[in-house]
Order: sequence, then structure tokens, then C-alpha cells
Amino acid sequence: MSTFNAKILTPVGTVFEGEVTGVRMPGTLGSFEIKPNHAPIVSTLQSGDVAVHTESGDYLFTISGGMVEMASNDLTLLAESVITE
Amino acid sequence: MANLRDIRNRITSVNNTQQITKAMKMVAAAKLRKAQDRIIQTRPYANTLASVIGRLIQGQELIYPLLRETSEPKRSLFIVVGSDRGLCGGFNNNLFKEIELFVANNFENGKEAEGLSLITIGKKATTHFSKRSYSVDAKYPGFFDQLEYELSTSLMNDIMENFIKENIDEVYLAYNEFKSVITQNRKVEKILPLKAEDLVVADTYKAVQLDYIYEPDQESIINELLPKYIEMHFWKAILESNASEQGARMTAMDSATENAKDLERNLRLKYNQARQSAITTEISEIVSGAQALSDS
Repeated sequence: MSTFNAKILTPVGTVFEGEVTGVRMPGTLGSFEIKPNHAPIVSTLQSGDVAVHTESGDYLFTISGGMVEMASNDLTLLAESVITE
Repeated sequence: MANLRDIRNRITSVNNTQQITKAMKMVAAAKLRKAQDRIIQTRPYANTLASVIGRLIQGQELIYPLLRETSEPKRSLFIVVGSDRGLCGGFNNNLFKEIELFVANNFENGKEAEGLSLITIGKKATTHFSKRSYSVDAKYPGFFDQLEYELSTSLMNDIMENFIKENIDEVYLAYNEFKSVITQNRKVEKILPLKAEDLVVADTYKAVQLDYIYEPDQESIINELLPKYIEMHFWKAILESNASEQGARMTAMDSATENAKDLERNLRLKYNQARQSAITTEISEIVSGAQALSDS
């Protein structure tokens, strides 16, 4: 399965960084999932859960809004605050 | 010749002072390291945010509330970031002097100018400006005791809201920028209205050619990101000021320790001289006494 690089950043530090197979997040227009080779996208996010799928397991974070940018298989998610579960 | 016991007492007290300043220096050094770490941790977020905004606004006509320029600003707000504690050299005073100079130069009636108000962060800034009949809108003494991002954002959000409602026309931020452990850069800068030039970043490595999908649309994304940009800018200023404060305290306490050492050395010399002369006097007294006895 192909993977891509994902980062979850907050103003107080990096919460997650690594190779993932998919990230599901709460977009302003509804929840959506980014898979490898997704077209370049910039989207704002509302508060909700972010699910990160990796080959070795899944991670769940709760964010309080933010934004995401995906370009050339490089995903950066900026979250104002994150609660790790 | 000073009393031997007096000198001994002074040596003890200088020694104690030296121990205190030395301990304070080490505490400041530890806090400085932590403060620097916090700055470093914000960098990935801040850089990504800036570069995304920089790319988004390219070739866009910018008409956002946060960029509202007023030709004749009537109400100006100063945010002064000082410190909560003293004993950090000229850290606070130099900054306050800079602000006072700036106000005197840029406002017709100086500190009595209409529409000029301050928000003071840190105990030292609060007491300084409250005493000097500046109009202080809000005070945040003890801000650095619990340094949290949420606190700084809620403060900044109130200010932005007032700016958008046109209650404030311009906002300045005054703080100590962290240059290195021994040098701080005093900065008074305008943070609102935002300037479009400041948002454009040189780094456009992810090629402008990329055809982005925007959700919901470019304009609303920019509208949502601009406040975040200012919040981040403010948070960074606070962290830098915090690191500068520790650095300033460290150097101040270091030179205090050095001074105490010098003082102690001088006192010890005096003490030994006094002791020596006391012994000499005693010997000569004994010798002359013995002589008097043998003569008789």
C-alpha cells in the first residue's frame, strides 16, 4: 500500500509526523479523507476528530479547528489545539 | 583602621549575596533553555502558516477587515510586553523608555493624546505605566506565571474584534526580541492593520503552478487564516520576550556575582591587613613590655 508523509502541527509543538496511508479530518464542508496522491488541496477544518491511518495502526486526535494543506504527497495539518487520545 | 569584626561581618554578607545571585543565574539559565525550546517548537507551525498564506494571497486583491487602513488613525492601542519579576538589568526600563520616546515623537500630546491607550502584560509594565498617568485599558500582571497559548489568543482575539468593529484604528506591539543570551532587541511594531507586503513570503518552493483545490474557497480560507497569523505573531513575541527576560536576568546576575566576588576579594585584603597590623601592634607591645621588665 502506498503511503505519504503527514505532519500535525500546533503552535506549541509537533503532535504527529510520519508515513501514513490516509488521514480523515473534519473539513468545514464536511468530513473527508485524504489518500495518497490526492490532488493539491487547501482546506479549513472545524473542530472534531482527526483519524490518522498508518501501516502499523491508527491514531486519533481531537482538534479545535485549523487547516490542512496537501501537495505532492506531503500533508500538513495545522491545528490550534490538539487532544491526543 | 576598620574594626576586624565589622569587616568579617561584611564579608559574610557579601558572600551570602553572591550565593543568591549565583543561584538566580542558574535558575535563569535553566528557564532560558526552556523558553528557547518553546520558541523552536512554534517554528514549524508558524512557518507553514506563513508560507500557506503567502501562497494564497499571491495575485489576489486583498480586501479583508484586518487590513483596513485608516488615513487618520484616531484610536491607537499599545500592547506592552514587560516582565513579572525584576532583577533583570535594563530589560524593562529600556523598553519602557523606548515606548515613551515613541509616544512622545508620534503623538501630538504625548501620553495625554486622545485615543491612546495601553494594554500592559507583566507586573513591571503594569506598575510602570499605571503610575505615569497613561490610560491603561487592560492589565495582565502575572501573565508569565502561566504561559499558555490559549491565554494569548483570547487576549488577541478581543483586540482583533475591536479592530474589526472599528473601535481601534491601529495596534502596536512593544517587546524585547530575543537576539542572543546577552542582547535583546527592543521592538515597537505595528501589527494592525496588517500589511499585505508583510504576508508575501519569498519561499514559494511548492511551485505556484500547483493547481490547488480550495475548500470552501480561497477568500474564506484567507479570512480564517489571517487572525491565526496575528495570534501566532503575538504568541511568538511573548515567547521571545520571555526568553529575553531570562537571558537578561542571567547576564545581570552573572555580573552581580562577579562584582560580589571583587568586593569580597577587596574586603578580604583589608581584613588581612587589619589582622596583620593588629598582630604587629601586639608583638611590639609585648616586646616593649618585656624590654621594660628586663631594664628594671
